[in-house]
Amino acid sequence: MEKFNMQRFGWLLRQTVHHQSKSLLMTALGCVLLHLGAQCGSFYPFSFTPSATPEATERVAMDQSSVFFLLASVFFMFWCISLCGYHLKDKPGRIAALMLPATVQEKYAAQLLIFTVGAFVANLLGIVVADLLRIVLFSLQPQAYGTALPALVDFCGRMWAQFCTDVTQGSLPEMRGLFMFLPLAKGFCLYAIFLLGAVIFRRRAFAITLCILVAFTVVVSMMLSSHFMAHEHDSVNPVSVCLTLLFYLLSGVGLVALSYALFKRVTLVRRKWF
Amino acid sequence: MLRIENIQFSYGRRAPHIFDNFSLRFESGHIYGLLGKNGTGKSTLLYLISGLLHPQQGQIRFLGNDVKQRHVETLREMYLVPEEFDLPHVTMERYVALNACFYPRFDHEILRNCLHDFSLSPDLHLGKLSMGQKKKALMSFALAAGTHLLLMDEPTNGLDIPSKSVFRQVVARYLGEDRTLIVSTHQVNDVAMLLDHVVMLQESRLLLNRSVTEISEAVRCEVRPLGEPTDDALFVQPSIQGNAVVVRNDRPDEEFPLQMELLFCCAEAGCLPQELTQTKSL
Repeated sequence: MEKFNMQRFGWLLRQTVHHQSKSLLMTALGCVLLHLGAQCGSFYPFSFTPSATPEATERVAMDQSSVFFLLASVFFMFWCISLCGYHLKDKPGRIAALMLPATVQEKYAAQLLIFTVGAFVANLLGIVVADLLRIVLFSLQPQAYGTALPALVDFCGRMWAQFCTDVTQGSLPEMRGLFMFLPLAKGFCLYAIFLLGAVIFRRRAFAITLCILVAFTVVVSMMLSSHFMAHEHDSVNPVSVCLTLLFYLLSGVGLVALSYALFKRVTLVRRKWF
Repeated sequence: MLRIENIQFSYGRRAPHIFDNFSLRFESGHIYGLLGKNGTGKSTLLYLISGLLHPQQGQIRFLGNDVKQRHVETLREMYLVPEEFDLPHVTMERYVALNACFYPRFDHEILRNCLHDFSLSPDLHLGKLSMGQKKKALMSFALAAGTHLLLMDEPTNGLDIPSKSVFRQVVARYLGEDRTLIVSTHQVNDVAMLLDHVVMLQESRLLLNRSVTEISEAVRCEVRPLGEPTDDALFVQPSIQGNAVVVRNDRPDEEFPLQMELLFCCAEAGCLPQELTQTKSL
């Protein structure tokens, strides 16, 4: 295996950002519009009529906007990771990518870094910009609300506190640590699924991966619904918790490894899956 | 320098083989013309050499490395100017700043001279150029990259007539003696004067693999007026000016320009002497 060269990796990052600056800019703009749309949707019902209980109404509006912020953020992060393979969508793109004198690890890591960390940063900036734009757009309404950012931070804190309480008071308080990791493991597994989709489908990767994921979830749920109903009142089993956590973690790692293996095997001629 | 050993390649399991037990060797310091009709595998061979495609059998080694592995030291020493390409919407200066660092022997002086010869401004914006201008800019970058191996797929497609002449001058002037250029083209007349070695493909086999010197020593091309006998000709192609013929060269001390198009047609018709078409052992 060739050595990972940090200097060359830096050149790769710089080159990727510049060569894909237009699509990155459009993605960032899309992020702002997504958050703005979510914000307008959450504040619209509360902005046109002054409320009899303004404080309570404001709390509801802020909580609603926080939910929309978080949903939009999740959507945006998965959208961005689906762009990892977009530069390989056509023949000229594949020639340029494959002929570049850098190792496969460096090329793969550069794409991951830009579309994961970069997406996270773009998402945070998108939230701030969308919040400011919402304030400006709704400033002339009968009921204008200020920034929703402190409410978002507070909402996340309350969600985490509630989650910790549920876990501690649940049927297996001694497994609290493992329960804490379950949402993270599930999120990592989902991330890996969209990453694999990006490498396989390249163009329209997000839409295709989402459709397959939804279809798979519906089918599996239908197949296992009778099993769930039969065991609905069973107490939580420590072994099943561990196995579930392990399943998600290993699946995530396996899918990331698979996406890397497929990325490494990319050639000029696209393998037709359908 | 570049060895292609017994490769077999097809574009799918059920597709016919483009190459079957195909071998070829390229030495450094030469300009090779890869000629053939449409669909004979010229571009495919370039993609196999550059590691963009992998043969099902056999291997291709460049400077001792298997090109399939796409090692950095291999990629650093080869540059491909494809027929279809896309340049980012940045200035040439920015493009060079972002890409030249990957090629240790990149020469900015050569780039400036090539752009000047192609009548392109050094501060041009790649997004605002026509296809032909983009091609000239990319070829300038390729020549400046300083790689040992330069591959060009149909380089004169899209170039106007004066630019084709400039292309030949630029390649002759800036290629360098230690570098190898493999040009794949069906526009043989555009590159005929550049070549010092001719490789002709026909239906996935090697039709001709000889240096221009060897070909010139064996045959010569001439145009005979209509009515003049052509019994001694290996190949005759009638034209308005007369009969273009290929004959055995019985005057080795004299120099005769090779007419690549005529030679190509002669080779396609199977009329070349055996000493030219016999496969050389690698």
